[in-house]
Amino acid sequence: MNILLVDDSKIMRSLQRRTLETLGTCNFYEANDGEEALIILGKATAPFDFALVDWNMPKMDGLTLVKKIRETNKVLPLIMCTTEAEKPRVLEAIKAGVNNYAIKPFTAEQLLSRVHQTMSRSAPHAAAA
Amino acid sequence: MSSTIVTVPPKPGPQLNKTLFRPFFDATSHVISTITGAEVTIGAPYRKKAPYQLFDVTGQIVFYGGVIGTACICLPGNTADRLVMAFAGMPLVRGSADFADAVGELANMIAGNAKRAFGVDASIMTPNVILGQNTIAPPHTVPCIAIPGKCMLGEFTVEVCIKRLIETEGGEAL
Repeated sequence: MNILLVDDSKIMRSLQRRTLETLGTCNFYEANDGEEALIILGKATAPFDFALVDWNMPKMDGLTLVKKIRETNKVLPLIMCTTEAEKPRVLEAIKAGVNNYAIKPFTAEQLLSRVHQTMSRSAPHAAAA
Repeated sequence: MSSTIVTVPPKPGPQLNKTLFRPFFDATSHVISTITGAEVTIGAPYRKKAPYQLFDVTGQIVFYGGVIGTACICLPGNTADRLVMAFAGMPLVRGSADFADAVGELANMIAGNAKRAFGVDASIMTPNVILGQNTIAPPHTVPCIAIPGKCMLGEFTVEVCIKRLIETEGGEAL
């Protein structure tokens, strides 16, 4: 699996990586902000299975990143992992194109549950892509 | 000619608005208990005033938008070491970039969870972390309370100095 982790906290990315390693063989790509994530996506030679995206980051925030990704990629499953939990924010993120939402702090089980949920919903689209 | 003595009443300090402070009780408890898996006890809040208590590690979040001010998680060194270890899953050297990253993320999660209950659109900036015996003096125009807490890893204090950008409800006792 190719997984993109976008979060300005290295510790958070490390926790996510450790949790997601239980899914099997994974290739992790990590970005500190939205700009780095776009560079990684632009250079990618194989499609990503999903991406975890933080909201509050320097340079380019997660919401802007989601909008930029959706300009060219409608199928990449995006899970917003953030402390931004107000209903208007969640709706804004969904409108921008996120497939699922995980509110920090979450346990490993909660994160895996969100990933499984997202992957099962996105499977037909991924196959079509 | 007689003189009149005018007594000037002391200027009242900024008033507390409980709708802004109370969310930090639940947010702090939720974040730390999720990370440590242990029960968290929140104590009675008090106004922060001089002489200020100094802490070894402080993680600060700045609010902007509909609510302005700061929230800090303030930790004695040993508690910080243990909390960071519980969060990161490994011991981290105090003063390292990873240690500061972990403390900042703790502050971010507490502030982010608390602002859900503000009832007004508020945003937060990326965290600042201060290492070494220190404190952040509260501004005169913003009420500041300290919320003490403890868990099996030690004691901590969350200091909240915030107010609505436009105070529509007036101050309310905590």
